[in-house]
Amino acid sequence: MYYYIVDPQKIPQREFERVQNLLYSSVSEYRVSGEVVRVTGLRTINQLVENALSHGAKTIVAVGSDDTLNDVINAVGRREVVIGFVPIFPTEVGKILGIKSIEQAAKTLGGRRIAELDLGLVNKNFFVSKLSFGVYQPAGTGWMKSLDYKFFQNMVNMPSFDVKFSVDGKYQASLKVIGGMIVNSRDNAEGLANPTDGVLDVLLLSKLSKWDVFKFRKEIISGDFEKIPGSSVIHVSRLEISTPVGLPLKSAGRVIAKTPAVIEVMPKALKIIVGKERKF
Amino acid sequence: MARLDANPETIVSSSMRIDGELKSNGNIKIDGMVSGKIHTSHDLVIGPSAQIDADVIAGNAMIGGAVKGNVTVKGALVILETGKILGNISCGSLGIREGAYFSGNCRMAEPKPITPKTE
Repeated sequence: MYYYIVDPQKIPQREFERVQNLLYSSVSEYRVSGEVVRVTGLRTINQLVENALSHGAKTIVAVGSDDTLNDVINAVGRREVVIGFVPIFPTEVGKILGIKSIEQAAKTLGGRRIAELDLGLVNKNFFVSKLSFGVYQPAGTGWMKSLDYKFFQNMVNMPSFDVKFSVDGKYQASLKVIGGMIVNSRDNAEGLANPTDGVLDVLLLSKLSKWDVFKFRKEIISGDFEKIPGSSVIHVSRLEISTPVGLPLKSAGRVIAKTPAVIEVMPKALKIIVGKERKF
Repeated sequence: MARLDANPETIVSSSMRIDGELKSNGNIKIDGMVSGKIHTSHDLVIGPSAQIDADVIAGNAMIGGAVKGNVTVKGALVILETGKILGNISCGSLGIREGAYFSGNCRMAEPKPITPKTE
């Protein structure tokens, strides 16, 4: 039984009705109909997931943004349930999973190709894609972001700070950075960030000159720090950041933890339905 | 040997300092400081700014920085003009560029005997 949790948080009411109609028609076309519930101020994703599990749902489908999917995954925790995802607009995790639209998502659910993916875990919060800290990343999409003056100004003026961490209990490391990312998966993987490899990729960005900020603005915005000279790249199963204290760790723009933090990979912890065009 | 640093999977930048055992299943490039042990079955590139106080085990290695410790390489070891090794080395093949510094013992695998062609 499919149990759809629809989260309209990021779209206006009129658009939501169009999305809902498209969802209904698509799931019935591909014969993946089920119970559809909507997140409201009184019915949180946690409550809806508990409700689904108590009714014996075998597949819980998050309908909304990457945040919705992350919230559903966190609410499910370590329980044995297959997760589905219907992005109501193009999202990073949607692209990773090979799902770009509602119609394609319904078709993907019908195909029921289940993959076991790694999850990142930071201070009891799961994440599918990545955690970031430090570096300012402007809102919006596409090339316009690289022309954002605020972004340029922030990057140039950003002070570097000392980060100290230990890796897998094997070594301690320290360096000066202006930001970093702990990546489980991302839509521009190119060899890194495979969510089935059992490791997290840590990308650390050192202070850049004005010219380098300009030259590598696209790489900074897209998080391809490994393409920027002077960056560090390491691979970890368990990362313990001890310094600085109180550094916010963000997932999809939301702060989900602060340092000191232990970040671990949970190999094959997520059973999720993926599309043919997945990025791993 | 030029392709050694083509696609490093682990990069230790010049501002990074590591204490302990750095182990990787892929290529490693080091420009920073490492104390302890370095281990990879693939390629290792140590840049001119690197300072290594560690025993090193690698598949192939190109050394342009300072290494204090024993270096064990299964395949090719190249010490560049800027390279400095204080320790013993063991390798399959060895190249030392003019200007490099090496102080220690060197042990290499014996080459296979060349059998003369019989007519």
